[in-house]
Amino acid sequence: MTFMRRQLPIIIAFVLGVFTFIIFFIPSAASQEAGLTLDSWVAIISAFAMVLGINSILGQHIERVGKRRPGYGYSWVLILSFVAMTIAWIPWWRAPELGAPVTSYYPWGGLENTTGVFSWMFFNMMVPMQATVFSILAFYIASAAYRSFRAKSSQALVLLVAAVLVMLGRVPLGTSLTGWISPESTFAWLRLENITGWLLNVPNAAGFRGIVLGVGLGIIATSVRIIFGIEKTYMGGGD
Amino acid sequence: MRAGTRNRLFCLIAALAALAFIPFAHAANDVGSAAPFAGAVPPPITPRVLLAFQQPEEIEVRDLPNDDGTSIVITWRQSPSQPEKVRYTVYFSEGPDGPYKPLPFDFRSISLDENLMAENLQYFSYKREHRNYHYAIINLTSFDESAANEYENAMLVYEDKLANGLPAGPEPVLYEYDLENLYFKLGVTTNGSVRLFDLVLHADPVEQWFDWSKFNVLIMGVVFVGVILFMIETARRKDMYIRRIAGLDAVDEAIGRATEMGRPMFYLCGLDPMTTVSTIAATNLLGHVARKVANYESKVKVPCFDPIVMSVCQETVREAYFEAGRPDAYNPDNIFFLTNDQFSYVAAVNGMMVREKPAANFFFGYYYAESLLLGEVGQSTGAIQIAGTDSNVQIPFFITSCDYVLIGEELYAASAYISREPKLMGSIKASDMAKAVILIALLAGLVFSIALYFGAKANPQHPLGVFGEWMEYFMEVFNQHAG
Repeated sequence: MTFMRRQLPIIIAFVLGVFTFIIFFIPSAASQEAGLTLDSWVAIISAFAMVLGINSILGQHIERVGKRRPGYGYSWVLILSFVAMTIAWIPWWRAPELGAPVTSYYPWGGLENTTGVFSWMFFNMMVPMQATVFSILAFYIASAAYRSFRAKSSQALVLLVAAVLVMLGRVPLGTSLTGWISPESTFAWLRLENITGWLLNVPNAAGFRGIVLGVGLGIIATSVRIIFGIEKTYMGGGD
Repeated sequence: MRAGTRNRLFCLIAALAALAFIPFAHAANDVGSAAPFAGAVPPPITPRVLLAFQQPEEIEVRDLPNDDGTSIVITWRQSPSQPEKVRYTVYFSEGPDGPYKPLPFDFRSISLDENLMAENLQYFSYKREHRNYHYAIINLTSFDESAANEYENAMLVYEDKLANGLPAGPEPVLYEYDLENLYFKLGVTTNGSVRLFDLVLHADPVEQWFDWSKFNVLIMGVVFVGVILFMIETARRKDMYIRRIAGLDAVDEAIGRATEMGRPMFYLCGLDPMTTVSTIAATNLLGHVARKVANYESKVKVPCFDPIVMSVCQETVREAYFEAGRPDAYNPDNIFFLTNDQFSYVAAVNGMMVREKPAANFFFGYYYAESLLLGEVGQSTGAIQIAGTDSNVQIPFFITSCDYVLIGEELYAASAYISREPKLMGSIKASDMAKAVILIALLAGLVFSIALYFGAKANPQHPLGVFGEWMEYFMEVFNQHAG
């Protein structure tokens, strides 16, 4: 049992980790095929894991409804929505005939049938709700920017000045403020679009690349720890 | 008008009218090797600019190196002729004698200053002289793909006609190219006119078993792995210093605060699946957090975006509770799956934050546009927030909305930092050593670039001679050689 829980996962991680590392350097069709097969396995495992996920969320909400916990009405919404979308998705009742129109084999399910129930629910309920949540981001960006750009320290002041310059340099109104400086003159670097470009391409890019380098090395180091079984916390249990 | 004259005039008009319906064969091009066309009607006259174009030298074809044996590459030296609006093109034939036709798939013609061998180090070694050579890669599987597409489209039309009772003609047949007998000709084109050069080109692609363009990656990877293993061994024998990471020090503080307030904590592992290293790092850190939570008899909730991540998190937290001697306190319902739809997940987590008012929120792993949505809502509830992500575009959003942020690699170092395990600390030290090597390489690259800049002022064609070429080669070793 210990072998199944401890050694076997480490062996699998080591073998597949080394194998994946090796096939990265082999361009032959067989090697690429093996890589794709591994990807397929991941997709298959993910599909099975989705059953666990559905069991998790439905189980919790059914229990909440059963025990009439506070807010159980929302659990009803989730359960009914899940059932409705699942039934509406059922794609076909029989195999489609050659050349048959989409609506005949997607009677009310499937995104392909644009007049079907599922399609209607997806595009008229899911998509607007997703867009609504996403659009809240605009307000949060404003509140976060307000909080961040308060010049409470010298560092915050630098951030504020840089942010104002970049924002101005990215809009026509802002660039028109320094439009009177000739692009050929010695002082062309004072044009807002040039200052913005320098801020983005020099200090910003330098910091960005520093982070990317560190991340790359960190990924390799973590991968080595996992492949060689040094890091085992992700399997549960200690180090 | 007399009848005879009228008849002759009528015959003359009729003859002229008939001439208009006779399909004249275009005059054969009598210069160079202008292509015999099939499929596309050629223009009757090859433009003067193409006729005057000097045929490039050293036109060669060979197997494309470092590939899976499906492609060939045509290379040629830049032509002295540099007229505007003229581009190189490639025609093919199923046999050396023609007819040569345009490639059946999307093949972008090549301008006179692009596709230089020096710019594609995935397939060609770095040499200065390669700046004077063009290349064109022909993937032979594209022939079959284009035939399959054509067949599929023809079948759709055919079936549609059958379904509507229209005359459909014979059933389309899938054309199979004779890939072993494909011959090519290089040519130049402008405004739809083409002139093909004489040389007939043919090569057989060969499958490769090692991608030499990745040899530098292999060497650096093996050296780095060796250094990691060496440092891990070293760390077993002596203590190693690791700098303070404020965000990780604050983890204990956040757990203590939640315990005192009697409120739960939320721990998110990001939106990426278990196959990404940042998610693995997040689950590693979850193990440490869960152990402390179990010790303090507090409560951590882990809403998951991915069912596999959920399973791993459940196992990690369960083991942590067991190790802390509190298996009875473990509740698997606290680690649950929500949805794998991005904004639905955000809405659900934000709803829980607003309702349950957690004392602490941990955002570790990889995040996308939802980072600020989560951070701002958590901030509005008054929770202490600690984030850690390697998504560099989301780091600013976390910095504005969270109390502490682990930037990039700090997320990977978290497990070692908290546990202080020598074998984990060793890998952190190895990363630092690798960074030092990269720093030296960057400085060398900077010095070489400056030297080459001034060298180019003296000799634009060959700055600093062979030594300069060696410098350029050194910098290319660290380049990403993407095709």
